[in-house]
Parts: sequence; structure tokens; C-alpha cells
Amino acid sequence: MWRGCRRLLQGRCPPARRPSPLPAAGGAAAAGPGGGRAYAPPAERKRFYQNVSISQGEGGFEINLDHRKLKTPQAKLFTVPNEALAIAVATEWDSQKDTIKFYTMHLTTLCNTALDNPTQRNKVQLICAAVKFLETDTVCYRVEEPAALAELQKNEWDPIVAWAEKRYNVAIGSSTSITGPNIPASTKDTFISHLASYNMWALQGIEYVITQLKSLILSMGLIDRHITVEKAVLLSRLEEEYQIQRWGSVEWAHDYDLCELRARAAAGTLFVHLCSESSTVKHKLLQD
Amino acid sequence: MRSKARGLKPSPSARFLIGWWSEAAAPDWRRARSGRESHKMAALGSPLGTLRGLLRELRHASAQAGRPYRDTPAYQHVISAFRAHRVTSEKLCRAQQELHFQAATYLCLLRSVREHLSLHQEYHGKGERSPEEVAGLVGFRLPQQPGGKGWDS
Repeated sequence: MWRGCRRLLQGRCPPARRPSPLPAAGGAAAAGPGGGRAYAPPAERKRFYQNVSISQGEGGFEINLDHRKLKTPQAKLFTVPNEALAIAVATEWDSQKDTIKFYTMHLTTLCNTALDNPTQRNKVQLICAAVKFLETDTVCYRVEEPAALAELQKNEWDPIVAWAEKRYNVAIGSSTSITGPNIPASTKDTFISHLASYNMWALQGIEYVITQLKSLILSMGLIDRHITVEKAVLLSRLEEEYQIQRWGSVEWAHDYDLCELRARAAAGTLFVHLCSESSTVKHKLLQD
Repeated sequence: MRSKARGLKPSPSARFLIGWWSEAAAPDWRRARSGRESHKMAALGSPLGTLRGLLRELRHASAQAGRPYRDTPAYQHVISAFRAHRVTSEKLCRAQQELHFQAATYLCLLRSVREHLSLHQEYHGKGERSPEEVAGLVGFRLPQQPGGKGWDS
């Protein structure tokens, strides 16, 4: 399953950075039906550059791999509006050893998505997709039994729902029925108008975080800096953590998923903050 | 518990939930001492701890690049950002909190990417076993057929 996910990720951000096409990766090593050879994972792109640096162009900051400029999967020039984001992307490229593992480069993937917009959604469609998650928000879906889990959900999720209700002046509530909570239209309108204040790049990031955490409320908590990434991931995976505490943890599944979710949520949050900030440095006069 | 959280974690979910939540909820004494606005901000701990963790992660990330990590733009950016926001006369500095939250988020990103990669390498990176290996697992050996099996292989 996860191998399929990796191929999906590679497909989303294909390693075709140079004009020469990727060598038929799976073909050489893959097993034919009667071939009898073992399946090996498709050959990955080797690290073909030594230095990663940043330069400033007209559109923003660009990444240089040796002397070549980085391009998106749709062959557009890779430009980011923010220097800190460019540095973070350059660090991602720099930290690849031997082979390039695209599934670890979350910020690069996010920037590519923002630049290419492969799903071709405009701002309104993105906001609608994001607010739609509220109807099936994780922290609003409660169980009735086992009682320990129900109480855990009440203790951990109620504060964050209360915070969201207070912060945005809306009514959300929670529900134990299968249809989920009944969200009034005014709540949705409030969130729609709040999300409309972010620019397109930040919205891509917000929608990404919501999709990963499966919760609009937790994502808003992250974006408003109310909770840390670790706490948000913990709240999102509350039932899994409960079961882990009960039955034990399987490292190659539970820890793997936890690290991956943390990486994605952190990347998305950082992306949103970097794309929506406008920092000015005010130098204070030293008064003697 | 706290030292385990700051350093390299071998298995994040090994700690019990109760201890983890009380850690994530707030080290109150630390916040009271730094005088930060408590009810709105996330519980992040001290900026020094975050900075130390970030530098450690950056060191890991550039370990194979050959260059010392102090030359990397990321290191210089982090150091200069922390230095710029260090001196402030206000006790509740919003920009400082924002920077600290960003730094903590970036630290979480670097750390979890590294752990994810190591888990992937350990458990999922090796592909399938060959038929000879599989036979060897249960103590068998595949028959040798010098003439080939009769079809293209």
C-alpha cells in the first residue's frame, strides 16, 4: 500500500528535472510474469548536483542545482516569493544523499503544486473544498463506546472545539451520530470569509494541511499558532494513540505513519506561514 | 520525559499517553518565567532548546554534503533570525513568538523527515526477496537445471 503511495508521490512530482528523460526505471529490474527475477524498487534518480544555491530573479527567489535552474514538473521556472521558503527548499535538495527521494521533500512538492496548480482549481473552489471538511471534521466525530475512548475524546477534543468556537464566534458542536454534526450555514460563511483573506499559495498549503489532518479545526489551530504540530497530529490520531496505548505500537506501521503525518503537517504549516507573512524589521533606536 | 522529548527519539509512541499530554499541555513554570502570553500561544518550551535542536538537525542534514554546516544558507538564516529577534524591550513580543513557532515547526519537519526516512530504509526500502532467498528461509534449495527451464528467463 505504502509502495503504491510512494509511486503516487513520485508521479505527482516526477523526477524529470532535466531535458533527458528518466531511464526506464522499472523495466530493467522489474520481474516479468515468467521472468523469475525478484522485484526491486524502481531505480531512483541519483543526486546529479553538488551545490544548491539560491538566487533572486524577477518573479522571486530561484533554486540553482549547480548551474541549472530548478523547474517544476510542468517545466515552469521554480520561483518562490519568500526567501526563507527558498532556503528551506534548498536545504531539502541539499540533504538528499546519493539518490533523490521525492517523498521526503514536502516543501518542494507544495511549491510545485502552488506553481503548477495541477488540479486547476481557483480560489473559490479551494476554499469550498477546505470548508467541506468541516462537515466530517475528526474532532466533531465522537464515539459512544468504549467509554475510555469517549472520555478521552471529550477531554482532548472539547477544548479545541471550544477554542475554535470562541475564536471565530461560530457554533460547531460535536456529534455521535453517523451523519456527523449539523454545521449551520453561518459557520461555513464565517470560515469561507476568513479563508478568503489568504492568498492563493497559502490556501494551497491550508487545504493540504486539512487533507492530511482530516480536520479543519485542527488546521486552523495550527495556522493561528494555538497548538504545536506534534499536538495537532496527536489530536488527529487520537483513536490510534488510544489503541497503541492499549495494544502496543508496531514500529514499521505506527511510527512510520506518525513521522510521515508530522512531516506533512509541519511542512504545510510552515508553507502557510511563510507564504502569508509580511515581515518588516523595525530597528529600535537605542535610547540611553 | 522532557529530556527524551528534546533529544533524538528512538520510537515516538513508546512514551505513555498521559505523560506525553502533560508534557505537551504546558511546562508552566517555564512559561511563567519567560513572561510570555500564555493562553494564546502554543506550548513551545524555550527558544534556546528549539534553536539547539534546529542546529542539530541542520548538522545532520548537511552531513553528507561535504561542506561544514555553518556555510549553509539555512544555518545562517536561522542564526541571524534568532539574533535579530533576541533583543526586544517588550515582554510579550508577537514577532518573537511567531518566529519561535516557525522555528519549532521547521524543527518538527526536519526531525520527522529524518526519522521517516530511517524507518523507511529499515523496513520498506529493500524490495522483495529473490526466489533463492525465499527458498532458503525454510531451508530448501532450488533445483539446478543446467539447460535452463525451457522458456526465456
